[in-house]
Amino acid sequence: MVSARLIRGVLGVLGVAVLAGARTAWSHPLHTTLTEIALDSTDGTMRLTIRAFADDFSAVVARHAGKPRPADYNVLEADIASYISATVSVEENGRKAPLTWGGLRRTGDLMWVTVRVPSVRSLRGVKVATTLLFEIFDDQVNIVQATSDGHRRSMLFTAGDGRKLKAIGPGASS
Amino acid sequence: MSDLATYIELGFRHITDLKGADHILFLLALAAIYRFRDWRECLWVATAFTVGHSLTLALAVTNVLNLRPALIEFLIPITIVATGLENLFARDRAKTPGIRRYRPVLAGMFGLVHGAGFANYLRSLFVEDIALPLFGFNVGIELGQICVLVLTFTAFIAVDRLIATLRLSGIGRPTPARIRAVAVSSIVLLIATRWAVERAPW
Repeated sequence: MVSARLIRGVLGVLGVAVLAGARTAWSHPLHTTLTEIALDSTDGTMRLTIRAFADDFSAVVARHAGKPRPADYNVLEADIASYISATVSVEENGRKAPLTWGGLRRTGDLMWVTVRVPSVRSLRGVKVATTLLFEIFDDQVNIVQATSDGHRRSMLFTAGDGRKLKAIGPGASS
Repeated sequence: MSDLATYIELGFRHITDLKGADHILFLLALAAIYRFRDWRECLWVATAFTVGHSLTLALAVTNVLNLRPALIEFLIPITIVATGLENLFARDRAKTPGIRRYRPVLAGMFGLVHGAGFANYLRSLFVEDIALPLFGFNVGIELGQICVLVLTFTAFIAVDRLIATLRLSGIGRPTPARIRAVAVSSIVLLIATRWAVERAPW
C-alpha cells in the first residue's frame, strides 16, 4: 500500500522542479503541406499544386520577404513565387528546371499555389525537393504525390532530408 | 511509396514526435500502473484509446462533429490529469475487476477528445478524398503507440530494478512498480495540470 506521505513527498519534490522547468504548453498540430504533381501530356507541362495552411504559409512567406506577419494572411503573389523558388527544386535529367507562376487561390484554411515546369516529356528522370516551412517548424512534413500515365508515387520530405532531391517518375527507386 | 504508406508514416511520425508531448504524456499516464507482465492489458487500453481517437477523427473530418479548437486544446490535458489522478487513487486493481473493465472505456472516451485535436488539419488538407488518409494516419498512430509503449515498458523495468536495488521497497512498504507508478503519474499530473491552466479557454 502506498502511503499518502509517499504521494505527497513525490508531488512536493517534483512539483517545484516540474512547474519551474516545464516549457509552455505544447499543442499537437499537424505541420504538413501537400504537393500534387501532374504531367499534362498534351502540352508537356508539369504542374505542381501546393496546399499549405494559410496562417503558417503567409507567415513564412512574409518572413522570407522581410516583411511583418500579415494579419489577414494576405501576401503578395510575387513574394509567394520568390519563396517557392527558394524552397522547391525540380531537376530534369540532372538539370535544374525553371518554375513559372501558375496561380493562387484560397479555400477555408488552405492556400493553393500552382507553379509549372514547361517542356517536360515524362516524369521519368524528374527529381524534386521541397523544404517548405522547414525554417519555422522542426517537425514539418511535406507530402509530395506525383501522377503520370496512371502511375502514382507518394513520398515525404522532412527536415532531416534537407534539400535532398527525390525521383518521382515511374520505376524510380529514390 | 504508396499513398497509404505515406499516410501511415505521417501518423507514426506525428505520435512519436517528442514535440507532440501531450500524446506521449497521455500514453505514459496510461502505462504507468502496469508491469511488463500486464502488457496485454496495457495494449488493449491503448487500442481502446486509438478506437476512440479514430472515431472522433472520422466524425470530425466528415463534418458530422465540429468542436472548437480552444476547447479541445483544454480538454486534452484534462484527460491526462484525470488519468494521472486515477492512477494515484485507484488501488487494489487485482481485487477489483471493475477497475480493469472501466479503464479501456476511460481510455476510449479520452481518445474521443484527442482525436478531435488535429481533425481540422486533416479535413482541410485532404479535401477530396479523406478516407485513405484517415485510415493510414490512424494505423500509423497505433503503430507509433505500440513503439512508445515498448520503450516505456523497457524504461519501467530499468526503473523498477533501480528502486529495488536502492531498497526503497520491501516488506510493509510499496512495491517498486507502485513507487514508479506514483512517481510517473505525479510528474505527468503536474505537467498536464500546468498545460490545462495555460490552455483554459476563459
